[in-house]
Amino acid sequence: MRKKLWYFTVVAVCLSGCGLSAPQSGEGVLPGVGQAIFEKRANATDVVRVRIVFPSEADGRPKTGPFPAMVYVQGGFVPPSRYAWQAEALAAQGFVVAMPDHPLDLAFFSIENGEVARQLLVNPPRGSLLEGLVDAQRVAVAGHSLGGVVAFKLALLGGFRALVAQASFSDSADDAKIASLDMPSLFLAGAIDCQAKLTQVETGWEKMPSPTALAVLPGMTHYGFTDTDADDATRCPPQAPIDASHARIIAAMTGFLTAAFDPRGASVGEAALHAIEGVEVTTR
Amino acid sequence: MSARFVLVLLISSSSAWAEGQWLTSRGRLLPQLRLEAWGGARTVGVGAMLANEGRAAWSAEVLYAFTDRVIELRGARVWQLTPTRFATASANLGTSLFVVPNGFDAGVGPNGGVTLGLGGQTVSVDLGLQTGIDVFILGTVRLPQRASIGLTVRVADFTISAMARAGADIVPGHAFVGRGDLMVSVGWLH
Repeated sequence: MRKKLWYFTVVAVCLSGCGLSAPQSGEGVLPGVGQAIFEKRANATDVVRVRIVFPSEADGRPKTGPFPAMVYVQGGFVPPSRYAWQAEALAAQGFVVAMPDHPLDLAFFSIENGEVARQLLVNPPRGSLLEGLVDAQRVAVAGHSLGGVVAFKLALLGGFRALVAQASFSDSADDAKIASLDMPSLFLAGAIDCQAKLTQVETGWEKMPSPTALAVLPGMTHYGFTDTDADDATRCPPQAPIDASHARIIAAMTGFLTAAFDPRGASVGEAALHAIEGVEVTTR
Repeated sequence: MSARFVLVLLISSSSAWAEGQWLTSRGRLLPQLRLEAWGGARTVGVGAMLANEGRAAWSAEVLYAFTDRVIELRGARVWQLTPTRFATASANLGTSLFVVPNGFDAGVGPNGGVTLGLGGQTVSVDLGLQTGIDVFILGTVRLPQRASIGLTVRVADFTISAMARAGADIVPGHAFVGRGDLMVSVGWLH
């Protein structure tokens, strides 16, 4: 009997004892950009996978930090991999980006996975590549579409210092709390988005406290924030080449995040936003 | 008595694994010992249910969530509330025990449910509601709430079942966590 119990214990440990992934080095995905997959336990029993994209050396080791960081929440039913281009472009500009997985690619069903990702950034596993990589005082949250709605909810939980909403606006249930959100925010909207219509984004933006900016991207539709806007091709064709839209998105985000994290005083980076060709910018 | 086989057929599953009893989520109790193995994309498990007092039975389940790397042990008592007929109802009350590595957490909690079975000996559809409380050493408290639907087909001494379960964990002070899973099982009646 004792032997059987011992076997059971050994099997149980083997099945459940595998450590959570906390790599010391990543793989290079672009020159100067690396990525690694981390795991963190949440809600007692769940393992949340988080893709970390970071400024790296050629061999995948992270560059010396600390860097500002961002947690990115994908749109509904859109896999995070379709936003990898944003993470890689931002990492090339000196940002660490964390992209948590969500069941069914639907962040609304596990809203706090984004907070799990933030905790991973600011309290990294000892010995992992994240140790010393992120400045805990400079972490933003961003999301696209339904992921943007979740990004607002994450911002309301605290711990984030800036917010980027892409083709998105807050849940009306959060209206009363949004007014007290004390951080710079940037709304990015496609001028001809058929799903998150510009008027809806504008209405959402009007609820935001200062400082906040609304940047309208010309000729862009809903899926221009992902790696391809082919989903819009038939019913809502974009009028701007996606490469041009991507360049505007990254220029707006880097300009905004740099200003939002400025130790001399947080702002939305109005000058940098106005410098982007073709983008209509409103600030207050 | 020796179990003859265990066959686990995996089909697609969705999100995180669901807590609560699985074998007892049937309206109609069978008089035989039922051995069952099941699986989905994130979990596999085996269990047994023994009806020893007419309209009441004991069940035991062992579950391994291989993506989350958690072991769960479940035990329950189930009572058939109505005589066996086309529509048969049951209720169950049980306990789940979780063993969580990476921090050495463990959880325990009561759960219960009611199930309405529609059909006969050969084919039945079961509709269920489950609720419970899970309390973990490291402080997490959650209230899993589930609705389930299952289809069971019996051929001789074997059963094949498919079950879908969806709901949410209500976590006090936190956002809810949506849950859903889909399982297929093979059972043997002895």
